[in-house]
Order: sequence, then C-alpha cells, then structure tokens
Amino acid sequence: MEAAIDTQKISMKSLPAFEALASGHRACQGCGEVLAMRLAMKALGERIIVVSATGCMEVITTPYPQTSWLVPWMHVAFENASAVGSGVAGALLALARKGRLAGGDTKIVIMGGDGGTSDIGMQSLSGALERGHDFVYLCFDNEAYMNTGIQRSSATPRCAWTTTCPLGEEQPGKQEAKKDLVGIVEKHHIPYLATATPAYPFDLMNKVRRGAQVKGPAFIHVLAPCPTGWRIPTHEVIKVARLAVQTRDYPLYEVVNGKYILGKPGKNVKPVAEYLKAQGRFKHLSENDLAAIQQEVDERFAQLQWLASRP
Amino acid sequence: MSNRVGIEVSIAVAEAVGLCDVDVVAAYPITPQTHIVEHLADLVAEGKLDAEYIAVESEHSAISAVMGASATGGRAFTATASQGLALMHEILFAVSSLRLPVVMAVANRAVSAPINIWADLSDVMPQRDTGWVQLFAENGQEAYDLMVQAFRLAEDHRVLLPVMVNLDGFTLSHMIEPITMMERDEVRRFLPPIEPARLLDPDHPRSIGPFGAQDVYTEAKMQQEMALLRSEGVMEEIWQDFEAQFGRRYRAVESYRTGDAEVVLVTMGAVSETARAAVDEMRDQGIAVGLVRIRMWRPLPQEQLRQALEGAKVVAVLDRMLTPGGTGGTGGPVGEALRSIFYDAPVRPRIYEVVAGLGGREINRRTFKEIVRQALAGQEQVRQFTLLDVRCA
Amino acid sequence: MMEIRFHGRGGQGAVTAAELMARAAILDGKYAQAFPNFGPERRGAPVTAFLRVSEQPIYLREKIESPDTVVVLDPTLIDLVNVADGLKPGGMMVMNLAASGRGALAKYGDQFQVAAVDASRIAVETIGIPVTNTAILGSLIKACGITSLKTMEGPMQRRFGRLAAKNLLALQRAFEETEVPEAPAAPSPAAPAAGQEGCTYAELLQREALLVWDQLQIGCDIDLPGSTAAFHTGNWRSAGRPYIDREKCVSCGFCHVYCPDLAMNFTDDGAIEWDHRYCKGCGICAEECPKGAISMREESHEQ
Ligand code: SF4
Ligand code: SF4
Repeated sequence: MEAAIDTQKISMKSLPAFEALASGHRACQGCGEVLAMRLAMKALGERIIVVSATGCMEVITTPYPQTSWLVPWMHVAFENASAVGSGVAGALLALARKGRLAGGDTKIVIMGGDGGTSDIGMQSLSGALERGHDFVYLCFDNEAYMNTGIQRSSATPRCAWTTTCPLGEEQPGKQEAKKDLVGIVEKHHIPYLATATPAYPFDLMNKVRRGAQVKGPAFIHVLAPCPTGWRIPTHEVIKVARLAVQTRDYPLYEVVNGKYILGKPGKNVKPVAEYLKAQGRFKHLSENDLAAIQQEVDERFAQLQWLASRP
Repeated sequence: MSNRVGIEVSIAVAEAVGLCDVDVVAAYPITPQTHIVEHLADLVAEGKLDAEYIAVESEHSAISAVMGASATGGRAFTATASQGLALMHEILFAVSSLRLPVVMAVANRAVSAPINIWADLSDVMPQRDTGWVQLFAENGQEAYDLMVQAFRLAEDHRVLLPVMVNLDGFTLSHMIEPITMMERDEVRRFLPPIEPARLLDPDHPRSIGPFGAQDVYTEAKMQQEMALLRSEGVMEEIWQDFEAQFGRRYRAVESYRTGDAEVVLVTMGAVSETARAAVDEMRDQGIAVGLVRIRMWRPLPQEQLRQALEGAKVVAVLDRMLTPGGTGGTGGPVGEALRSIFYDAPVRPRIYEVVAGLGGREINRRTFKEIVRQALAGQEQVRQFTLLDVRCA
Repeated sequence: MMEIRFHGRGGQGAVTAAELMARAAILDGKYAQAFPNFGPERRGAPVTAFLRVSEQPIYLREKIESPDTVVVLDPTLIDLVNVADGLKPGGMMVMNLAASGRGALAKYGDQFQVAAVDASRIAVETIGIPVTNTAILGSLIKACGITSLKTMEGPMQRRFGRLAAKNLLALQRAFEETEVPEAPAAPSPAAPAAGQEGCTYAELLQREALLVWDQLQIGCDIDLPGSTAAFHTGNWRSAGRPYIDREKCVSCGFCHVYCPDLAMNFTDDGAIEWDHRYCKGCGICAEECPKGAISMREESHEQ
C-alpha cells in the first residue's frame, strides 16, 4: 500500500503544490491560524482524514452549502475531536484487516484550538494519546476563545487582556500562567512532539510531516497569532509570531521519543518586551510586569536547554 | 432445541453484537452495563470477534468514537447506563443529526442524586428527543434479538439513524434465563454487510458536520425527522423478515388480553412480564383487565397505540421516571404521550397515571393489582398522577 | 417607529453604533432596540446591525426588512452590497463618502434622500484612525433626529472612557458637516439592484438552491470539495490592496507561502500573480516580501 505521507523535506523549491483548503474561507483578514492550518495541510497531502474540534477553523471553512476542504473532514463537537479521531482510527484498522478499506493508506489528522485542546478537549486528547492511536494532532493555539469573542482560556498567557480577564483595577489581565500543554502532552510519552509557528513555515511543514511519519500519536503545537484577539495590525501577524520565537517566549523544539531537540538558536535574542509591546492585549504592562515576564521566559528557556542537554 | 441455553442476558447481548460482525466497539464501564462490554472485550481478546475494542476514557468519548468509526464506514457499537448516558447526551443529538447508523445498548438505571445503581427509566427518558430510534426489551430473548434487528434498521438506507436498545438494569441485564441463540450464518443472512451511505474517504472527500445557519437548519431537521418517522414502517418489515427466518414475531406495540378489558395497563421494559402475570391473576378473579406494552418508544407508534387502547374505559399507565414539575397529566413521559394521543379521539379513556419503580423500588404483581384497583375505584389524583408507595408520615 | 439598518464590516463597530444610539434614545425616554446579525463571516466581511426607536413600547423582535433609514459606515460597501435593499421609497440613506466619490450616489437620488459625510476623514482628524462608527452617528442625528448630541455624551463616555472626548468631537464634526438634501418629490418605489454579485450569505444560499429538505445530502454533509472558492472574499478589503513591483519581484514565493487566503499564486511560468477575488487585504505579503516588492495602496479601479 502506498504511504499516506510524502517523506521529502519541504523547502521553497520542493513546496508541495497541493492545497487541502480552498480560498473563500471566512477567516478574519490576516488570520494566523488559517495560515498555519493551510501550511500544515500542504505538508500532509491528500491521503488524510481531518477531524476538527469546534472553533473558528470549523466555522470559517464549512458555511453550508460550501466547504473549503478538499480532503475528507468531520466535525462533531468541541471537546471530542480526539475521541472521534480514535473511532476513525479503530475503523481504519478493522476495515483494513478485513479487506474492506477503499483506497490506500490514510493518515488521521485531529485538530483543535487552544480551548478545544487544553481546556474542554483535554480529557479526550489525553485518552487518545494514552491509547496510542495512529494520528497527528494539530493544536492551533491563539491563546484565547476567539470564536466566541476573545475569552480567556488556560492557554492565555499571564497578564494578557481578554474579555473575561479584563483590565480591572484589582486584576489587570490574566493573573495565572499559561498552562503547560506541551509539557502535559510530553508526559504521555508519545513518539513525536514539536512546537511550531507559521512565521517559520518550512519548519512548521517539516515538523508536521515528521510527525505524520511516525506510527502512533504525534502532537504539533502551533502558536498561531490572531490579529483580532491579540490586538495587532493584520500585516504584523507573521512579524509578531517571529518575535515570539526570537524572544524565546515561544521556543521551537521537538521531542522525539523522549529526546528534546532545541531549534537552532537565533543570533541575537530579543527582549520579550519587544514581542509583548507589539500587541494591544499587553499594552497595559508596566516595566515591572515586563521584567517579571522576562524572568519567566529565561527560566523556562533554561529548563528547556537543560532538558535538551540530557542524552 | 439445541441452541437454547441458560445465559446471562448481558452476555447474550454481547454475543448478539459479536454475531453482527461489528468493526468497532468503544465503551466505558458503568454498572449495570459492565458485563456487556466485558464480554465483548473477551470476544475480541480471544479472537472470536474481529473488531477494534477501544477502551475509552469516558462515555462522552465512547459515543464520539463510535461516531468516528461509523463515519469511516465501520459497524460500531457501544453500551452504557445512567450517568454515562447523561454524559453522552450532547453527542446523542449529533449522532442522529449526522445520520450515523450506530447501535447502543442501555442497561437502564436511575440517575443521581442520591446515587443509585438500580433500574428505572430516568436515564433514557431525558434522551427521548435526541432523534434516536428507541426500543425497549421485555426479556432476554428480546434483548438478544433486538440487537441484531437494530443494526439492520439503523443501516437501512431509508433510515440511517442510530438505534438504542434498552434493557432494565439488573432485573434484565443480570438475569440468567433461557435464550435461543442464533448461528453466525443465520445472522449474516438476516443482516447484510454494512453499506455506508457515505463515508470519510480521501478518494471522495466530503465535509461531515458543517456549520448550518438559519437558512438550512430547519431543512436538516426535517430530513432527519422524516427518516425517523419512516423507521416505523421499516422496522415492521424487518420484524416480518425476522419472523420468517427465526419464527419469533415482534411488534411495535403488544397487546395482551385487551379484548373486552375495562382497564388496560400500559408498560414498557422488563416489568411487563410481571404485569402479564398480574393480569392473568386479576382475570381469574373476574377483573376485566388487559395489558399493552410499548416496545418502540421512538418513533412513537401512535396509531398502533391508539388502536390497542381503543374501547378501554380506563388506561392505567406506569411510568418509571418522574417528570419533575410537570403540569396535570405529566407525571411521566408515557402518560403524557397517551394523553396527547387521545386528545383528539371522539371517545377518550380515563387515564390513570402512576409513577413507580424509581431507583429500583420493587414492582411486583401486587403493584399492578394496586394500580388497577385505584384506577377502577377512580381514586382522586393530585396533579393527575400518583407516586405509588411513597412513604408519608 | 423608526427602523434603521447599519452596514459595516466585521470589526468596524456597526453594532456598537446601533447600541450607542439605542442607549441615547432610551435616555431620552424613548423605547429602542439594537441588535446584530450574526453569521459565519469574520473581521472584514460585510455585516449589518439593526436599530429600532419608538415613542411607544416596541413589541417586535424580528429582523428589519424595510428600514426607514440605512447607515453605511464604509464607502467600499456601496458597490458591493445592495445597501438600499428594502429601504422605503423616499427613505433616508446616511452615507460615509468622500466628496470625490459622491457621483456613486446619483443612482439613489430620485428614490431616496441621501445624506453624505466624509466620516473617514473626520475620524482620522479627530480620533486618529479611520473608525467611523461614532462620526456617522453625528450624521444620523442630523438627518433623522432620534436623539441629541448632548444625550450621546453619557453613552459615549461609558463606552469609550478616556477616548470619549475624541469620539464626541468626531460626532460633533460629522453633525456639522453633513448635508441633508430635500426628499425627492415623487420617489419611485423600485429599489436599485445589487451592485455586484450578491455577496451576503443568504443570497448565496438562495443561488445554490441547496436548501430543499429532501435534496440535502444525508446529515447535511457538503460534497462539493473546495466550494468556498465560489465565495469571493475580495470584497472584504477596505484599506487598500497589494501592488507588486515587477522590477523588484524575484518570484521567491514567500508571499505565496504566507498568504492566509491563497491570493498570491504562481502562474504557470513561475511569476507571482495577485488574485483580487480572494485577497482580504491583510498586508502580510507586503510586510514579508524579502525584496520589498509589494506595497499596500488604495485601490485604483483602473488597474
Ligand atoms: S515575496 Fe516578494 S519577491 Fe517574493 S515572489 Fe512575492 S512579491 Fe515577489
Ligand atoms: S494582502 Fe497579501 S497576504 Fe493578505 S490576503 Fe491579500 S494577497 Fe494575501
């Protein structure tokens, strides 16, 4: 049977022409999430089945009677994409064994936003990871419930403004730290885990491809700026995502069979303030806040370096 | 008959599912459903059933996983009870709306609080409006046969809807009783291989479960409703075929000694056998009493019910779930349904409604005799129903 | 009772405009309702919001089908949606339009009363950004009354806090600069046809004729892969479009990679081509082009 996923490394020269998404989708101008999704799907190719959680990407791609999808796609609810995907995985195995599977090899792609992954979908994700079905999970993290109008999720970073962690006198912005979703997923000891952002499109596509080639669960966490919710001008979406990496607020790395592999270090690391000040949701931050966040960023990165230094 | 064995009903149900060559079973354990899924796990582990058994982390994921499996073209089964069914509630709507032919067994049990593991229908009745075909078994044979019939109904292209087979927790699910088992070949002859109407297939991409705005939601519901209504006739066809092949006859509504009955009891589920015994004893005492049992609850076989109850002076209906805060006549959902059916009838029977058997409270022959006594005596009812046997100071 | 429909784009504050007006009318002791019209479209897409104002209690909770007045916040919408749809003959149109663009209004002149104001310029001069939802209310008050500039102060203060003063200035300026011509003597009842291809979601559905219940796919599936391509999001652009400088472009393809809307694509001979049908005008391509070959400029319709 032909393998579902192309193994070639993607560069501008070898950029797959395939698009799983058609234009005419209803995403906001400059949406970083739909871009990340488009790129990931390019890397995956057409032998896939996509199971989507509820969220912006589901709404903006399937306004009946039109769909943007050129690959089979299914949506049921917010919290159960991983469970639906588990069922797809089970059926593919059983049908293949019984010789009833039409077509060749197929990869299952499950996707959700930060809410659908680290909040309401956490349980079904954890279950699917533990059971070890063969799928790639794409988490497009834009750090709040954007579909419902910018409400706080567990993935919203400390201090950020959202409509449910507003800038009150007592509590300016989110008081709690961003949930360590990648760390939680890592503890399921899956074969492949990576972080990515559309600012580094080839890195993103190659990680998705690597993840799709392993047998068993792979998890790609994608930081996907939402210009509407982050309060950034649409043209700066990529610039801001790049700053997240350049400031080490969002380091790029892989965990392959438990081994941490840190992305190439940038030449000059920028202060996290540059990343934060570019966004309206952080515009209230004081110098003290910035210093505290810088310290958090440094500590997190040091820990990551330590993890990557282990054999 | 060589195939007649003494077997626990849960095990028989699992055997029936196994005979249907299911491709995927996804389940989460909950009393009193456990024996069904344990036995399916055994069948898979021993290689007697070639299926994927997905031991999910919740009922919510169980129903979600069978949806995924069904949309991929597999025959999929799950089973649950009580809290588990309540947890599935959200997804039950999606299964029927997306027209996925999933089959589920429910070992009926009360819903918390207080936590209670015994039989009543307060788990399934709130699922009434989720768009599933809902069948109720009276005994082990029926539970066993209904499983096989359920797959055929669900997968019929005129229907394409999920089917729920209800069996009372413990009083039916855990009973050892004689059941005539079917052979694999016989089942294969009765139940053809699944032919998915559509599926997730990279060669024919489609989007399942899209965003449907005001413009199309009503039409989507209409399509679904027409299929559900159609399932009544298709079920009848299937029952005729089943009788031709296996010799056992099923109907949506069963009548027993209703001919000249002055009062007719209406029941659902396993208590109906006891009701029949009570009817016999009361008949012996000269009381003109009959029994109507509802096997198919959704779609509601309205016309059959109306005919079955025509001529009765009093209809005494037993509900095993309380509809809280209902106005007159809605002690429980079955009573409410009967009142609606007769609203337009030229001659209306008096409807005497009793809610009993909550949380596994014993229902025996005395219960039915008491119901009939009260009904015939025209006993006064508060809010038009009686909560039987409730202890008062 | 007066019924008003607001036309804007997602993110431009049409809903806020309707709300502010309703709050003011209620402060004046009137009855009012403001409500949005939600669809799947996002920031940039044409959207509508509604306002009802009455001296008597309002017992209606339905959409407004034939408004007395329409308010257009974004001049780029005039050619894209039928802003006069259902407008009562002789009804009022309050339009944000620069003086140079007013020729576009000629077609409405003998059917409706058209009050125009350059709200975009006023907004830039007073607030600093071209967000017109407060300025346009000044014009609406001038054209239709409803409430007073004075009453608007409270709701504006509440909504905008320290930015209220600038918004109030925008309101005041727009009030002063709005010209309200006489109503047409004998308005003809026919509404003008939609400017371009119908682009509202509802119109699209009608056209697809996929709405009859027994013709829906099983479970309301969609088996038209990639069919959103029939929906041209190009009309979401309101602040310019990318222009490629052919001298500078090296066909590296980064704009193609980074475009969320697949609106920068390679032609068969390897050149980059902009697709006006889908470009939402985000400006990412211009920002990311390594050669600085793309600039975002106001659309000139000649090109
Ligand atoms: S990114 Fe710039 S140089 Fe590269 S192809 Fe696009 S316009 Fe040309
Ligand atoms: S402005 Fe550029 S990046 Fe944005 S949608 Fe248009 S072509 Fe694509």
